Amino acid sequence: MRLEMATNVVSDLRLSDATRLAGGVLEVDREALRKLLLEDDAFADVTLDVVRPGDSVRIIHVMDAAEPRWKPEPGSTFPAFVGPPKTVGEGMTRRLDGVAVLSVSDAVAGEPTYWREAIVDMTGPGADVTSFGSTTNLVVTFIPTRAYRDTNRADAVVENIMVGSALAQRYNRRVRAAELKAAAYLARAAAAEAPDHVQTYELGPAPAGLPKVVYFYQLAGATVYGEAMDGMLPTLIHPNEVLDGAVVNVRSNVHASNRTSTYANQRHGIVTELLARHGREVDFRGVIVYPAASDDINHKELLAEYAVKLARVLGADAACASYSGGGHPAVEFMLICRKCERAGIRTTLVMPEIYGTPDDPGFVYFVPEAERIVSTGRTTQMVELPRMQRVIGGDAFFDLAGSPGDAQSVLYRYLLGCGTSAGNGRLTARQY
Amino acid sequence: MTTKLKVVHYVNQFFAGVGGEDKAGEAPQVRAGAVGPGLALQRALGDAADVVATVYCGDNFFSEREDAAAATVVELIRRHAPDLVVAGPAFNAGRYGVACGRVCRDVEDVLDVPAVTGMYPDSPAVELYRQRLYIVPSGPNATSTATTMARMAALGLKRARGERLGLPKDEGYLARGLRFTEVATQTAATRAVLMLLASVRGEPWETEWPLPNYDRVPPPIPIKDVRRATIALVTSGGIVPKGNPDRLESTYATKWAKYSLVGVDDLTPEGWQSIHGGYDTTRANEDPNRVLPVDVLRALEAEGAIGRLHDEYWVFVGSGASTTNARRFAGEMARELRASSVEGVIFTAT
Repeated sequence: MRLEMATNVVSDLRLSDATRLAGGVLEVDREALRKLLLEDDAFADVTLDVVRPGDSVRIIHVMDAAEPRWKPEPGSTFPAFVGPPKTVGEGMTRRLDGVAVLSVSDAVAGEPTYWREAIVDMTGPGADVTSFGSTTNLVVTFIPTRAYRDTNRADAVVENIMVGSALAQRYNRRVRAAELKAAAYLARAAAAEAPDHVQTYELGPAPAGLPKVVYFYQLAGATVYGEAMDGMLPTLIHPNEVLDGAVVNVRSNVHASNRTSTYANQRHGIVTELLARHGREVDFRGVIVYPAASDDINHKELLAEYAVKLARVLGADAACASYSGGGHPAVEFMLICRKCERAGIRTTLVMPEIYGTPDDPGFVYFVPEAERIVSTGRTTQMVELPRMQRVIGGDAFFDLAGSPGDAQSVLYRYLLGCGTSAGNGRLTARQY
Repeated sequence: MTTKLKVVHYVNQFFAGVGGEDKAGEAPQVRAGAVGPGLALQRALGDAADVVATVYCGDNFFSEREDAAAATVVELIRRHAPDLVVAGPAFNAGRYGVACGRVCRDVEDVLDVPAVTGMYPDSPAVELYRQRLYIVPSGPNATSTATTMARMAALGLKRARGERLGLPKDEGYLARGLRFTEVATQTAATRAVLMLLASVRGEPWETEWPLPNYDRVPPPIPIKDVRRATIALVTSGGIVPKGNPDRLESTYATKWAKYSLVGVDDLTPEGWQSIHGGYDTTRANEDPNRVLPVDVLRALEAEGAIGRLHDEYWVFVGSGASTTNARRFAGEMARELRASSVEGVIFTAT
């Protein structure tokens, strides 16, 4: 499978009355895009804002983010959300670099909010630790219709407090669909322009003797081609598919720091790193995706056993594995490490640190085989955020005191994507 | 020109030159200036600081009445208004090491003055105090005095000046096990792949997150006759009286609570709830007995399968609770359980 990522670098984005890309400046027809997004009757209204690196702006209630992409025929852009049901990861993809679409909304009826708050700062220490502090962002604020705010509906009942009501789950999906529609709309504007550069991703034949590496990807609140992974056995996907829009975040009630946004999947750190070294330093065999948070020990054993079996079928002798965060997911994650090491597959683990205090050794669960760990930072540490002139997304935080524009002392965990186990960020923790 | 810093040195009776085991009962006393190993400390401090006094105490005196001895030592130190306290090095000495640790801890807590000590890494006092103190690793005996003192002086001066300390291996102290978030030069993905490649190639690599050594808890002796035993319930599942009267935290717990079960045969959803923040509590709130099985234990009590259900239960929330807090909770609850007539505990987790 050969994927050609044709990139146009965008230096600025402006809302205007026509959509076009010229000289690196992307103009977006505000009314046309609003009309497109309002085709979905889940939304009473949408507002569009452009924020740039260095702006004194804080965005709150962020749900997800996506990089603008568009795949010309016969490809499918964001299958199951925007395009037809086709697999991705090959052919041509048009991409805009330097831009992100951020989806923002208040919570709807039956939507849990205790892990939902996600902050993006465009300047200061918050901006330094997330991708979205250095991109020009089109912020789409969705206003749900009255129906989605009606707590008396039968489908507004919370069956499961982690994911919320059926209504809330549906709303989360519709926000993603709209966000991805906007992302496709922007990238399509580049179609008339020649790309600034084209990067090819391909798993060609690798010389013998290189370590045969697989990546175990633990998914939390994400879908693969629109399918929730819960209850499924681990499965194999091509790394190109991860980068080309197959993996979409659909759950907002996940610690913002560990939330692997759609954007973080499109630019997945570990996948990109292994692809870049394929054929030179590694023989990258594939990505094994599996769902986080099975709550049954037999199922955990089976998940781990099956995932490692796939790695053995692929002939792997080395692996990277990432941990989504949370309590239950730690168990199957560590079981995979143990079973790999026992099968002669050397593993490196990428893990956010989620415990409460600096003196805590920090593990929910571990196996002695977990000798090689890369930390994506202790996200329960405080970071000082400065006062911002402007706030987008709401008048109050979900679960933080104070006015959102004021200087804030918050946990890193509120900063979108700063500690994602996809490895995109530079945070770590060191032992003193 | 900056003023010279004032340092007080703490040693035992032996290093103060008073005597050996025969003088181990000596009460805390003060000598002006540097004494014994304090001379090496003064040399290492150079012009930056003066050892203004040496406080010493006999090993037995300290270990036999630690609280009183520590209070006296701290008071003697306070009178010299030091900028820094240096204790030891105690090398591999048991009583002396514990005394150095305790003195440093109290100096920091009570006087709010930085302290530094030196110990052999395997000595028992290191386990007691490594998380609380800056301990410079020494050799097992006094032959390592000069190098250890030099490191203690350098580290102490940095601390006295309020300078930020670097990593343990760069500054020469034993890692305290405190983890802090920082920004690395490479992404986590790059670091992970490089670590994997190094390991595959047989090159050196270093984990970013060392595994802890947790306590192993030996299983207790079986209860002789459960039919006569008083059984208590303890849970980390967050079951509390409705309304959470003691405001237990839903996550990152700092406290626990206990509630009466007198006259309670069944936990109703009207009277009880789970406030746990780490699992879906819907089913627990429908029927709180699912997490805290009072109904089943009352039935077992009625049929004589257990002696009786204890009149109180203990509860905390496990979700994200630090092991430091959890260890404290366990100690506090275990003390209460042992003081009661309880012979067995059913611990329910979620």
